[in-house]
Amino acid sequence: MVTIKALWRDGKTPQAQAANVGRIDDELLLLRDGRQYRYRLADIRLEAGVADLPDTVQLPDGGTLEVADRIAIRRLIGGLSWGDRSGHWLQQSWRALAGLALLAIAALWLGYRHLLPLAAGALAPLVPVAVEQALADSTLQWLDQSGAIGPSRHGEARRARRARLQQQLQVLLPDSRYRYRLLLRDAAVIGPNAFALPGGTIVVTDQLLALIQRNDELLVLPVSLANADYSRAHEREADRFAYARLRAHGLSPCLLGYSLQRIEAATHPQTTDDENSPGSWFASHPDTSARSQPDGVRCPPLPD
Amino acid sequence: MNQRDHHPAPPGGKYVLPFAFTATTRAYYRLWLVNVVLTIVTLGIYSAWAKVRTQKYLLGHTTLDGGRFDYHGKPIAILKGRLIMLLALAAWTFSESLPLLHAAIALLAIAAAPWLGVQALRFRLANTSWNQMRFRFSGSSADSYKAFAKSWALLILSLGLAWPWATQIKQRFIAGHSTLGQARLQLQPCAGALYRAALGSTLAAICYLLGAGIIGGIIWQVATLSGFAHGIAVQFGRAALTQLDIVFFSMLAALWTMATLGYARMAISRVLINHTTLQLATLEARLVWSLPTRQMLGLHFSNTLALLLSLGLAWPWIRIRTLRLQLQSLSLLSSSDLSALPLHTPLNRQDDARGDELAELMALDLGW
Repeated sequence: MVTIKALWRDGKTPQAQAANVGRIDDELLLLRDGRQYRYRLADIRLEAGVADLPDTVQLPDGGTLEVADRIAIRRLIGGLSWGDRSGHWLQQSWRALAGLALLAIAALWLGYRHLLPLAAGALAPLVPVAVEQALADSTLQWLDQSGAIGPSRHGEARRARRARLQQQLQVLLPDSRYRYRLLLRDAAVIGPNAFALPGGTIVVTDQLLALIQRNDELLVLPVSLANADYSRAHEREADRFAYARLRAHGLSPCLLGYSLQRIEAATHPQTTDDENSPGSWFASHPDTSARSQPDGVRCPPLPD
Repeated sequence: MNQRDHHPAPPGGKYVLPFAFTATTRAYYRLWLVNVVLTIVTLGIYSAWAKVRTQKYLLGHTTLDGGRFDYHGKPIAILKGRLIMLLALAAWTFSESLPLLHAAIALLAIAAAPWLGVQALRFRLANTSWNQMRFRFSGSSADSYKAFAKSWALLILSLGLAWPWATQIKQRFIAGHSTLGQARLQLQPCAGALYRAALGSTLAAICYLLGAGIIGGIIWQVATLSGFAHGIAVQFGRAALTQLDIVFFSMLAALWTMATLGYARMAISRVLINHTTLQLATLEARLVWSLPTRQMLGLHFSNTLALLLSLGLAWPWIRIRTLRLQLQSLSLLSSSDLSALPLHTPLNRQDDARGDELAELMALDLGW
């Protein structure tokens, strides 16, 4: 009979005792103190040692065997459990590690690209509108305090225009669960811009309002924003949404391109190259010329 | 295997039973890499198995007097605990805009802390063994609430000044109920030493401030003289340079904070461990942690520097070198040899108060 050297401990005292382990049929044979002990294989549990640590055999009476010769004990008892074996394989094989690392990078990328938007889409409707509005209010307050934006400097006429825009926005987006709120703010630092806060709050800067005189052109920006929840990378999708809304109300999808071109012309009076200065509307947005041709439609040149 | 090579008895007839740490950076790096990768691939589920493997590896390579420690936690139990933790975290995060609910959750967390502490210690100790003898935590929730209430009251009434005594009350509760066999740990009074540790930590904070300042100053000078800063300003604008400066200073501040907190934690542990005794019948022993302050200072500074420069990849190296340094200088000074200890009694193992803080302090050591 093959015997393997082991260290036996009773689990109650710290002393270890040298022992020998063998197997007869479906029983484990333990030889120590010149005596024989038998355990049914079904009652014992083999625990694989992590990395370079010895294996441990858990005996049903609370005793343990520490076995340094891991290959021998695993062969004797009939192998590790499936989980232990795969864990061991993963720890030992560089190829497995390399494959897993690639898989992990792919998982991270897929999660960022697809799972995050999916989760955002699923979770966003679950957040009460009141909570979103509270969040928007605190963000707005913070922005006001930071000095990045200030109260609008515009007079009565512009305020009337704001009310009209807000109304039109609600009409353009009839299925929305929000009551849209369009706010005007003076933002010399930011320039002509518009941004969406949670809960249907849309902030339009005075600078943008001054730049775009036509209401229908101005309106497309908030419509596009209303659908861009989580990432600018998804702006193309938001654009498509805006085009569809415009078409549904008998408006030209070219309007989005027009308003973007006006902003670009204003922020880059000398359009010598395609480089954008940091902080401008365009720094992290898709290319304006591409966005000016909705779904392959050729738009007439920018009207004055 | 164990209790073989005994160390010469020092003057006073005492045995020095050393702790040893035999883990290697290489093996731990591999373990860590597989753990990280599998945790990502399984969307975090594997993290429970990762924890078990890590604990098994680190404890398995920690020995006292030649006897190995071991970890026996079951991944499924840890996974359940993590799920509950995740739910609690989600509740905390999502209630941020509802102040009343947020406050209620905070109050609940404070009220549950003593109970949670007992639960955590029970699980932790019951799943840790030395020479295959399990540790045990015998403290009750009622005692835990008493100890925590006393400790917090003292802290609040003294406006924080009495923190060494507050710490002592809590640690005494934990130590006094942590048992191994029939051995009983005790925390000796150490308020004065704790004050000195706090003072030392303040001095360390000043040292680290100087260190971070010198390193930051050198980098600053190099960036300026080499024209790097100017290049950034020309290429990306002054705003970009300002942003870069902010990131740079935040990193220096993070370096300083991490090093200081790491040092303070270790300095306090050193006091507590050096005031921990083990008593059982005729046996008297005490833990001795002879880690020089100078080494501690260097350790935490180089650790944080390496962590920042490697963007976190140096973590396994840091963990192993820290544990090695700590455990190499830790030993148990005993009036007799542990193998001679009547650790086992025929009595029911459940109802005798054994051990002490050994496990809790070990837990601190092993970076739980």
